[in-house]
Amino acid sequence: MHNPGRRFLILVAACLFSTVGIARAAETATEVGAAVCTGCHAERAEAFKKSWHGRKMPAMKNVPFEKSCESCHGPGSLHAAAAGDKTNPGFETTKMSAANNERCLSCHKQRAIINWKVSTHNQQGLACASCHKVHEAGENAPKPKSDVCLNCHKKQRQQINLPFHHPVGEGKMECADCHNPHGGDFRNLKAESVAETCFQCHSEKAGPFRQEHPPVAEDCTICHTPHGSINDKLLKQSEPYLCLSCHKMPHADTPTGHPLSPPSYSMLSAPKGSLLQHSRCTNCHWNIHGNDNGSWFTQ
Amino acid sequence: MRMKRAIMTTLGLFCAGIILSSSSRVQAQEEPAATSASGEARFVHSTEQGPSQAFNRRWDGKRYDIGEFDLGLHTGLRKALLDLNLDDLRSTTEQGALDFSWGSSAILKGDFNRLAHREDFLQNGMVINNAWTPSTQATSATTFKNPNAENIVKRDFQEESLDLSLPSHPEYRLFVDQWMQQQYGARALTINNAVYSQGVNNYTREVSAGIDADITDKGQLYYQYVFQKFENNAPTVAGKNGFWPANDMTANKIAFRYNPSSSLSLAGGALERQRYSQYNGLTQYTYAGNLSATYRPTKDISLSARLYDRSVQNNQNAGFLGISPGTAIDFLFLKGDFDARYTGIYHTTLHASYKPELTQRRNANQWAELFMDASNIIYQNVTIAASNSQANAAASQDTRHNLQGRITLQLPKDVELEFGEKYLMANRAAYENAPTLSNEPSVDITVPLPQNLIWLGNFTDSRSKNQRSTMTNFKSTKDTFMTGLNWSDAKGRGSVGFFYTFEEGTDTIESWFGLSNTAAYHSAPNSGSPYNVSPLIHDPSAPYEYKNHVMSVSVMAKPYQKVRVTGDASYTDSQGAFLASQVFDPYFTGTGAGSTVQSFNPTDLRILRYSAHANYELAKHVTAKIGFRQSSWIDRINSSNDGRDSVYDLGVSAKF
Repeated sequence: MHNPGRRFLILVAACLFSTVGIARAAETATEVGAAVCTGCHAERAEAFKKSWHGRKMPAMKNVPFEKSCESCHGPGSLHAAAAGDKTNPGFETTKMSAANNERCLSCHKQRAIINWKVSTHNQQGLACASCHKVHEAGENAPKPKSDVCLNCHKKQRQQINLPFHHPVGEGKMECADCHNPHGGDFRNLKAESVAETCFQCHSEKAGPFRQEHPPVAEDCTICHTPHGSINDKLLKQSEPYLCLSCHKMPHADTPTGHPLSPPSYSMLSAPKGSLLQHSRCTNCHWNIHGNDNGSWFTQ
Repeated sequence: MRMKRAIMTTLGLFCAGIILSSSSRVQAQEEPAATSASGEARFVHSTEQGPSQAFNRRWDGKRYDIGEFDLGLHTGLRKALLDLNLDDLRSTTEQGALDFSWGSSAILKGDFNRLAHREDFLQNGMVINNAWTPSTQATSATTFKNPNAENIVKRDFQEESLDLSLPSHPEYRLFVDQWMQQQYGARALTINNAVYSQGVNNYTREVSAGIDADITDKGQLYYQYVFQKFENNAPTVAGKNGFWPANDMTANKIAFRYNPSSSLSLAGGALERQRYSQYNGLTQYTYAGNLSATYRPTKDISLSARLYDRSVQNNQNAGFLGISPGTAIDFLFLKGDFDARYTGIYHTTLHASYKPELTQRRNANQWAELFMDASNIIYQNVTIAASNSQANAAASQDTRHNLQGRITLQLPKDVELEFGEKYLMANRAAYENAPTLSNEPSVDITVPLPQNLIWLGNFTDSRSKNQRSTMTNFKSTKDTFMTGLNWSDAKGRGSVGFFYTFEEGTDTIESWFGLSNTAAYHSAPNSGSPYNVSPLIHDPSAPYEYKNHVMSVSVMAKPYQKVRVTGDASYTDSQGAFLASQVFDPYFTGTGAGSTVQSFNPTDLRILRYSAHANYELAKHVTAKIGFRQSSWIDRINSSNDGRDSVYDLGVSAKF
């Protein structure tokens, strides 16, 4: 049924034919104008005229509608000549593939995309058009929503459905609020570290504090899992387990209680009700990100 | 008050747009403008069932029977373009956006949006003698049933940016950005056994300015100065001072890109950041830099190298840090990231990367807990923790080697099979719960099926452990299984997507409950003699287990030309438990004597969310909309968290 050798020969032949075709296309393709494009793509052209790109290009770049199709897609004579025949090598010459990202970058020089060429997404061969839907976006800028990211990042798609999560699924936050899909200074984050990315919105935890909880300044993900968690406050494990993974629980059943706490708060020498209330460390150590008054993050 | 401010800001931006627009009108030849406006009005009705809405509406503000509106305006002259969107007006999540441009010389953007976040008290407790025993702290004031007693933090975000350039020199651009977040409302807070409704009233304002320049066709360079201020105006709680003290931040940043050839790209930057606490006088300095290069000799080969450093230094010679028990940790973090990709015959892709990391921490040893170095301690299971044998100090230096490999195969019938491996090896763990060894193999498959169906699957097995621990010996295993099925109609008339994930994991630690730096004794009943610290519990392998099932379905259908129906649903089943087996205080004569604790704060939740929306095109530019969504939160451990929230909306939109 399946003949790998034959398939390979066909593939080689197709590659050669394709290469010749594209080389020929590059030599001979010429601009034909939007009037020709609209002959087949009338509906898309109408949508484009009203779109963000369709309105911005003449106003900001002096590109009239007549030239707008080919300013992004390149000269279209061979594509037009293919007349919808996808087997014709000329058909592909106007495709917005990763190899044609340069066409977008010739206009787009925003600071946020300064790292694009060294970014992971570019290295993976993503085309700008893989995420940005230029024609269908309507009047507003074609900024992709998180759904676009989650189509590929399926682990995160699961995590935003866990009981505690940032409100990405609710549409109140986008992946791009923390991440720079075009490449960040540190990994794909918008700031130079995980902590600084979090401090952008959670500024109250930035300090510097007199009493510092060392992991806070270093990396919030030591305790938190930002995309979603089974535990409140996006903790990696529930309390007191998370705390016990680095600390001993010091509330001994001693006549004097914990030496650093008032006796009435000693976990086991207190009545049952009090004991239960202490099963979450942050009930007392509530200022766990750092504080200035007193010790052990209790004030 | 805040709403007015937001509206004033939006109107201010709008007026600025009008002024600039008028100015452009003088200079530009007037041409017929492509103007469109849109509006939508909705009536929203909601109902609630169950004892609490704290979790169904965790990210939803109050939304009772109200009318909401959306407005949009898109207009312009030859060079001046204006886009204005105001959405969800009159709701608790109002948002607006303004985009004005005058040629490429002036680009003004403004955004406003409001987020409501309910931060009610989540009751804690234990499973004691096989029965869930909740804390007695929660009161009616801390659960959301009474609208006047709910704890909601509202966050208002505002962002404005202005980019300016001269028409004669578009290669130089000046920019000014402002970002602001205001938080106000209330949240639940527990302090020493008492639950408070704590007022929240603070803001963060960040202003930045700089210059951005194109360096020939091949490069770009920008400089940015940032000033950020955080100020807290909330009253203190329970007499505690200094809660969330004010701080300032300034930063200077430069970044560049340079592409010497079509195959070689360079980018990098440097940043200096300074944070200053207005309360304690401490200053923290951060210095970060990065340099990246990507080389693509052919379209099939990609090589990249990235270098990154970040250092944080604390100024301890100011303010009252002198009385602090320890000195803040300074650290230096260096990272390299070397990556190679190759696409070969049959589109087989090979990917390999190596990421070494080095972190140095000054003063790390000063943060070991004081009671770690106590005298010998005998635990209930007769384990003896010798003095000075354990420490939880952060590592003074750790080196991590991250290796990653991936191979993607294109098989017959367009089947794609991918094998991946992530491996970590470290000389020591930064913190007790960080691994020194980790291994994560994975396999992915994508299979195109007949009738436009696509099936995908993934299995990932992750194992890690801290081999250099002297105290908790952290270990972790996690298995994840994902599968999905997509179908889309070739003519775009419908699509269905199904996705399911199962995740199961166990973390294990050696747990040490109870320790004091003084030998303490109890009198055992009828013994008449002191008994060595009986409730000190040591569990050599305490597990935290969790299981998550997540299912989601999304549907889109266009059964008729004028009708579009969408729907989605998700079901989450999450269970987590700290499997303890600890007998507390058998010799204590109080209420809790002899109790066996099986779990602390276990989780067993079912969450069901679904929604359906339908649009019907009444006329060419007029669409009727109807929608329904419901979410149910079922807590199988603490039913006082249960609730169901249903929202119905009916609206009509028009476009001109």
